[in-house]
Amino acid sequence: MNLTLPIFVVVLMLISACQPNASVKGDGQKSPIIKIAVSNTPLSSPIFIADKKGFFKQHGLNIQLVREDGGVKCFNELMEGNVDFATTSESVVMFNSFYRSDFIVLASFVESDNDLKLLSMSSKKFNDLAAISNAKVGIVKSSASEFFFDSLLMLYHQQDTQIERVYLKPNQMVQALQQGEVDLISAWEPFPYQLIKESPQASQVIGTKGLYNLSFNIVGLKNSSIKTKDKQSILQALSDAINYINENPEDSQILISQILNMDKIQLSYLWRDYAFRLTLSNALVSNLQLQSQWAIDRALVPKDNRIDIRQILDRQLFESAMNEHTDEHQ
Amino acid sequence: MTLATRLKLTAILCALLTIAVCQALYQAHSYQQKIYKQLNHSMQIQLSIDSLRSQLWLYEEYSDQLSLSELNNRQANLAIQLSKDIQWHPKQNQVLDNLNRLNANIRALFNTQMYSNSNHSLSEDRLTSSRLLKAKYSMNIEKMTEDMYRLHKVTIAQAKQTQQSLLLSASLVVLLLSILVTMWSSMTLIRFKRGMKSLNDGMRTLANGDLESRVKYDMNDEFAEMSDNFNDMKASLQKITIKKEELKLEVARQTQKLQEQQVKLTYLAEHDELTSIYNRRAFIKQIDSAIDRDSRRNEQAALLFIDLDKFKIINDTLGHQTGDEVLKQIALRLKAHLRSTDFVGRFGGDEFVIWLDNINNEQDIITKVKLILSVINQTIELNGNTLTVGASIGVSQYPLNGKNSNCLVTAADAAMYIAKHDSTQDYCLFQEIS
Repeated sequence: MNLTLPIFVVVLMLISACQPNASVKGDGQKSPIIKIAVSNTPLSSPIFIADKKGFFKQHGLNIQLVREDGGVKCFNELMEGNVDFATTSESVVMFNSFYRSDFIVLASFVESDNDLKLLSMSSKKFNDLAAISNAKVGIVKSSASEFFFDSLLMLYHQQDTQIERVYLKPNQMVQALQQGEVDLISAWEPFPYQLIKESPQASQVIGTKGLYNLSFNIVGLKNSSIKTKDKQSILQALSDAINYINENPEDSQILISQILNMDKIQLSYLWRDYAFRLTLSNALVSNLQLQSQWAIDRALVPKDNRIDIRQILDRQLFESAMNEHTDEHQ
Repeated sequence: MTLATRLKLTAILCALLTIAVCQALYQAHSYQQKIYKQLNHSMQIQLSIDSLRSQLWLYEEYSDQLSLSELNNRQANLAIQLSKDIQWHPKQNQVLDNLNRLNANIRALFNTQMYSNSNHSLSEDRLTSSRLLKAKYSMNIEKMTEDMYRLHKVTIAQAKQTQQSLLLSASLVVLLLSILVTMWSSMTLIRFKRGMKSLNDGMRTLANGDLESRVKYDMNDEFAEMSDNFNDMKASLQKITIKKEELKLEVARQTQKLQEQQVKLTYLAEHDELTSIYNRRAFIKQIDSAIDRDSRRNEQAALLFIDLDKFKIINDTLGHQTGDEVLKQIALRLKAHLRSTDFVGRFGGDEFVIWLDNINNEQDIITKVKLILSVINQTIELNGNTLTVGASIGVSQYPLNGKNSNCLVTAADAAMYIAKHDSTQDYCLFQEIS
């Protein structure tokens, strides 16, 4: 008695008949245009996927993406009022929290636990963190690069080790290391990938996976004209996009490699370290607090301007959006 | 389709229904087991995470090798729990992958502490190694808690969806099969009732004596066969009944024929074969009954005994055939000249007898005798011959010459004998002799 297939079909038809009609919601053209500044990195994948796969439209949104190189530029676009939302890393959020409190983090949508690496050209010479004393380390000042390096020293109790910090611009790092201007670099992707591709002898000093968590977040303005409903819809569309990414990792990677014009192998290499999920938890608070403390310790920011991180996280919006979304799916 | 096949199919359908119900129950059971297993296991993972969390707290307190190795154990335990395959759904697997990753991160974090023996003091206003570590542990545990919440949510959603679809599909199958069984049984019942009714009707008409009509049944089942047999039986019965009727008619026909033959035989027995008048025996019988009647009525009668003259010559010269023809002619003439109450008979050869009933006067008798003689004497034309015969007549009278047939015949015969041998007279009355 093989009735499974016909019954499955009938059940599918019944289920699909019970689904809310997407086209009713998806009348995106009549809604006001909402601009999101997106950083050209695979970390922004949920935004690109939500756009390409029509999740924004499904939630009745009319989204326009403004592509920028790096989270800092995205954040600046937001501050200048050119866009309504921006994607940026938690470091940018942390630094800016010392100077302004008119922005708010809506959610964190991806994390990488292996985005920053400590690299050298000689795996023999620098095979342990204890071996780096007196070495010249290439660092991007007041950035995740520096925070990562300091964290490493602290975790391995090497804060007192004598090293020479060489402050460089991000795109100078690889070349500086290759030309021997520095012994080590503390760099974020895609520079490590680029370096190892160009110089196969280059390697990581130690495995640092899990020691530093980079998150990518969507940030908006506190006093914006965007309706709460639309903000919730953006979060819900991102949630759908993340579900899609998790369910179709291969298709998503192909799509992202086309959008970013990125080598598929490189993307797969990065993708392994990514965990896509929509959160706004105490983990982010802890991370921001840690970095704030570090920034204060390093005198990178005015100590007195420190704010309560919880003020720039909109948990109420996030929770209402997620509850509503759960209800919809049930 | 025969009723037996129909009943067999009904049984098969019922069996299918039973199997479907069992299958649905079994599926529901095994799925529930799976869900229980998953929920139970996710509880185990939750416990492992909690135990890891408490151990982390201990480690923060003591930061020694003992607590570190215990932490190592707890972390390994969590890794084991996470790696167990409990038929997770891909969505659940993603969450578990995340948990695994976080667990690995925690391991990476305390790996950084493996080579450090120093116990650094905590300073509140500066970011130190321990504070960083503590914060990082907390972050990972926090994320794990979040992921556990997600795992529970996914598991419950998954269970709900599967149970709903299972319920729906099982209900659909059972409902469809039930409807099918019900409809099929009803159809069989209707067929059975129809067959029974047509057979019953056929029997009732037969009981009422109708042999003509036939049972009509257009289905192809046992009732069709029974109807055919019934119709055959009726046809045979009809044939037998027809034969009986025919036999009755034949018997009647034969009876009539026999009766006719009897009448004919009686006639032949009483009448002379040649002349078709009474023979001797019948004539005597007639005289007897006439005598009875006359005696009751007190009436008189006369018996004439006639013997033809010259007949022997005709017979000898012209042959027996001509003689027979002459006898026939004479008989016809005699018969033609008698009253309805009189009758004539032949005693054999050329001897005739006549009974004249209710005749009293002797003169009347003589007149009648003379008439008869003239009739006999008339010429007979036969095959171109003109023949003449004469006759001698003896007469006896009742009751004068005798009161029974025998006496009367003997008397008349005697008188005739006298007349024959007396050439002067053609007739003689017995009375005159005595």
